[in-house]
Amino acid sequence: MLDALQLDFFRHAVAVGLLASLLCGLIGTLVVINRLVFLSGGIAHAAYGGIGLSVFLGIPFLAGTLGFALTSAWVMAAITLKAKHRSDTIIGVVWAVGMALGIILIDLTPGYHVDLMSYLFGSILTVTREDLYILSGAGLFVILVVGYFYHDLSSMAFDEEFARLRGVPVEGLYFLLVCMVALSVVLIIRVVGLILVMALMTIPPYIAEGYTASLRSMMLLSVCLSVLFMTAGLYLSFSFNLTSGAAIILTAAVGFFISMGLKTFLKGRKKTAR
Amino acid sequence: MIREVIRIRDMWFSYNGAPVLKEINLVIKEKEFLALIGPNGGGKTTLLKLMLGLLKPDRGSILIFDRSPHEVAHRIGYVPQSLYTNQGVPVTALEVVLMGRRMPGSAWRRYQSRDKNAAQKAMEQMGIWSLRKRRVGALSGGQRQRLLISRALVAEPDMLFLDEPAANIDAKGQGELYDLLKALNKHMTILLVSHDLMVVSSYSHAVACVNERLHYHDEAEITEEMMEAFQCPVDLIAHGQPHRVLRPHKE
Repeated sequence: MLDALQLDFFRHAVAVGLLASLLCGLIGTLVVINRLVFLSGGIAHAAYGGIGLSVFLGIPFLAGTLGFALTSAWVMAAITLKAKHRSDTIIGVVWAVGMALGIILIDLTPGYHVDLMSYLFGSILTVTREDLYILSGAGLFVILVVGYFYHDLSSMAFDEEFARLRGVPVEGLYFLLVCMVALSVVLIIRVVGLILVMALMTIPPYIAEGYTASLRSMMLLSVCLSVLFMTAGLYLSFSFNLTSGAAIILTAAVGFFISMGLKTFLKGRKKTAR
Repeated sequence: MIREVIRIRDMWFSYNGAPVLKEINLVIKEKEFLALIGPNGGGKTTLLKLMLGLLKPDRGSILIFDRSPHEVAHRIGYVPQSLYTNQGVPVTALEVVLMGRRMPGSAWRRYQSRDKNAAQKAMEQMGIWSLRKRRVGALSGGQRQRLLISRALVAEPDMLFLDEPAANIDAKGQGELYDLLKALNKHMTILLVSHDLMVVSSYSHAVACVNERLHYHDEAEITEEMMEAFQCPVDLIAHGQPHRVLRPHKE
C-alpha cells in the first residue's frame, strides 16, 4: 500500500475515496433514516440518461449526468410529496425511463465507443485532479448544509408533521435533501459505478444505525466505516488486480455480515445474562 | 368576557374526492376542555390537522386566535398518535423533546440552557426525565406516548391538542395524565380526542361528536341525539357503563 501511494493515480484514488466516504456517510445516513433508498436508486439509474445525453450532445459527462439526475430527482420528489402511497411506482418508472433514454441516445450517436463499463462499475483508478476538486467542493457544500439544518433535518425525519408545526420548512428541506442525494449519487458513480452506488450509500449507515443513539454519531460512524471499506477495498483491488468498485462493495458487504453476526451475538449474550 | 380561541365556520373537507367533513361549525372559548369523540374514520384527527393548518379546507374558514392556522400553529402543543413517528431515526428522548422548542425561522439556532431547562421540566412532569438518554426506538409504547406529551408541553403552548394520548398508557398513568391535563386546563385550552367515555364525563366541559358532521354539546354528556343521528360514540356499549356517561351530572 505504501509503495502504491508513491503513484500519482493511486494517491488520487485514495483522496477521492476519502471524499466519497464523507458524502456516503452524511447523505447515506439521511437516505437511510428518511427511507429514500429506493428514490436514490431511481436517481442513480435515471442518471444513465444523462450519460446518453452527454454523449449525444457532446457535452462533459458530469454536466450531463448532474443535470439529468437533478431534474429526475425533482420530478420524483414533487410526486412523492404529493402522492406518497404511489411514490414507489413513479420512482420505478423514472428509473427505467432514464436508463432506456440513455441507451437510445447512445444508439443514435454515430461512432460512439466510450467504455460503458466504467460508468456501470466506476473507475476510481482513473480519476483526475479535476474530479478531486469537484468532490472537495461537493463535500464542503454538503457539510455546510447538513450542519446548518442539522436539527431541522432530524426533526423532519422523526415527525414531519410536527416539524412543520414548529416552522421547519419541510417541503424546501425535502427538495434540498433530494438535490444533495442526486449530487452525491452522481459523484460517487464516478468511484464505484451506478450499479454499486446504492450499496455504498446504505451499508455503512445501516451498520452505524445499530450502534448509535444520535444522528450526529450515526453520521460520524458511517463516514469512518466508509473510509475503512474504501481503503481496504482499494488495497485489495491494487494487490490482486481486481475491479476497484466491486472490491470496495464486497469489503463493505463483509463488514455488513460481521456486524449482523456481532448484533446477534450481543443479543444472545444479553439474554443469557438475564 | 371570555375570548373565543377557535372559530370554524361552514368548513368542508374532502380527501381524494371523498367527503370527510361536512358543514363544520364550531366555536371554542378560552380555557375550554373539549372532548372530541366519534367512530373510527369519522374525521376527528382530520379536524385536528385542519385546525393546525396541516390540511387546507375545501370551503369555509378556520380561525385560531383570530388568525389563520398556519400563522399560529407554533402556539399549539400537538400530541399526535405515536405510530406516525419514525422510530428508525437515531435520536434520544431528550432530543425529541427539544424538537418542541424549535421556532419558525430559526434553522441556525442551537439549543440553549433555557431550552434544556424547559425540556427537563416537561419530562419531569411526565415522569420520563430518567429516560432522557435512551434512544426513542428503545422506549415502550407508553413511554413514547409520555414523550410526545412532553414534546408538546415544552414550548409552553396556549392550547393543547391531544389525539388519543392515553393509548398504550396503563391505568395509573392515565389517571396521572388526566389530572395533569386538568391542572394545565387552568391556563390553557384543551382539545382531546378520546374513546374513553369516563374521561369525557369526568374531565371535559363539553363534548363534540365528529362523524362527517359535527355535533357540539356544551355539557359533558352524550345525548340520545348524538348516539342516534351520529352513531356516537362507537364503544359506548363495549364499555358497559352507559348510564354514568349519559347522565353524569345527575347524582
